[in-house]
Amino acid sequence: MTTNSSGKKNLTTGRQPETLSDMLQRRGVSRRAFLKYAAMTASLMALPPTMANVMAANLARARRQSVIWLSFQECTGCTESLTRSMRPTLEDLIFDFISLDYHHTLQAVSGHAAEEARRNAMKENKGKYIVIVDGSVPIKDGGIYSMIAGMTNLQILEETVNDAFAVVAVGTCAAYGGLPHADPNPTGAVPISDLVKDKPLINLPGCPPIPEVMSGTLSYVLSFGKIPELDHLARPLSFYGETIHDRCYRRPFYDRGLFAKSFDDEGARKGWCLYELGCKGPVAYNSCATMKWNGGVSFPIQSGHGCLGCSEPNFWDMGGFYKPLSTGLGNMGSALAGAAVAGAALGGGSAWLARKHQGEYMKNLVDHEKDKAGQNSKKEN
Amino acid sequence: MNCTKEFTHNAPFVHVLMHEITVLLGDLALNGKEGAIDLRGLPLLDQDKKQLEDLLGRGEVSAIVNIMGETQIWETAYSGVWWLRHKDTGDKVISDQVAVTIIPEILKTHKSDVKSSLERLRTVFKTEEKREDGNSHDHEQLR
Repeated sequence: MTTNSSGKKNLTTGRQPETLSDMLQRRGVSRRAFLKYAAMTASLMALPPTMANVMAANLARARRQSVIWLSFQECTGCTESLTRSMRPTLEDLIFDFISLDYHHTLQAVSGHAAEEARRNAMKENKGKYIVIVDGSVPIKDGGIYSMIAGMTNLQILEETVNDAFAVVAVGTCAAYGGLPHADPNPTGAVPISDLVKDKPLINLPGCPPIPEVMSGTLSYVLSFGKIPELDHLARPLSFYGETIHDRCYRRPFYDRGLFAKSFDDEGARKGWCLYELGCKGPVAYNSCATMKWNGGVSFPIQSGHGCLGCSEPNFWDMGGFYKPLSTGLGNMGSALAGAAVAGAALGGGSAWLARKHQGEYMKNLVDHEKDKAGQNSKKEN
Repeated sequence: MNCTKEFTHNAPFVHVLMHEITVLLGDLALNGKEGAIDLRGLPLLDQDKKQLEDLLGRGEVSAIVNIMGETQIWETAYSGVWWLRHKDTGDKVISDQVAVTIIPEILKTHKSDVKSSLERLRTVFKTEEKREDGNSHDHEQLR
């Protein structure tokens, strides 16, 4: 861990920090590493391949980006995803490109020294550092349900974000509240977007997010000095621009009306579509179907299980992981099912329609489940 | 050169890609403008990619760059059309690109690397000189 990393001079030595190119050259790594890394990142982000050269040149000139990582109501799965799911590969370079100045799980120091490291990083990189947040923030009862160093999560967030360049909400808990926000939300958990209104915010949802999505987004910011193009939920379009269903290798079976009816029937064994087994692929915007997991080995649908829709708001309260999207959820459910069926013929049109209805559909779904829970509780009483 | 197979229309996407490569090569020939196609994001089956690779064939130049895993580069049977295959340290292909260029950027030595290697070479040379000076001094003392 270092405490000085961006373009500012070191307060004690007065020296300008070295560029990423200088740093790698010192280790005997040539500029070709940047070209290869940039080619991979541009490919992941669907940037024009010729942009890779520009990206490589910008990365080489950049200085290490100060990053302060705040962990609130979370399970550390997002950190696990970024740090442990890859063998020594190109993505590891991200740890050379950033200076992780504060991270509860990964930093060596603890207690007052840790908090001092955070404040030093904020001071030395004022206006330039990136704050990554994983976990939701509890605000009920004065925020007492999660406190660090005598401060509530909300106090730490407000203090840290104040002089940040941008904020990245990593994981579904930070992006939408996630599991802590699930009904009945006992701690009053809220997403970062409810609290940070005056800084550029990027949401990278997923439970956890794909590691390359995290490293790719950070590399983009570092290379181009701006945040990538985002969708209506502040997610980078390059990673969350299409549904799992749009890019699923089982899609041809869906188009032909071939569905598995149970997890061990003939259809399941033949790899047919898992829509009727509750797959949320048609309403889940993420890159799992193309980027996959564990170094591109597989993703849930390829392993025989439907998508849970973990990159969508309120996925925990969507009425059951094994409940088909089209069943018993009022008009919105049938409208979406209709859109999906139309998709078999219309391709991109269904994606547009599905996205258009998605917000309302999700809201309906959650309201429906809450009503049902309320009715059940009345019956019990 | 190994080029070879004729265009067939049984893989329409490959046919479209061949057309795009032709357009890009025309741009390089007439205007010196470089281009590239990233095959990763396209809905190509493995056999489509193989067919494209076979159609483009192999030319006179091939190279391997060893950095963070192997990168295989070859000029196809069509001069100015290169294939770049990036692999990770586990030998898994992470990116396939067709680059239409005089020479792929990754094959060139960057100026900053030249400077760095010059410094390293000078350091090694000085060390060698000192060692040799030391040795000749020892020899004189022995005499």
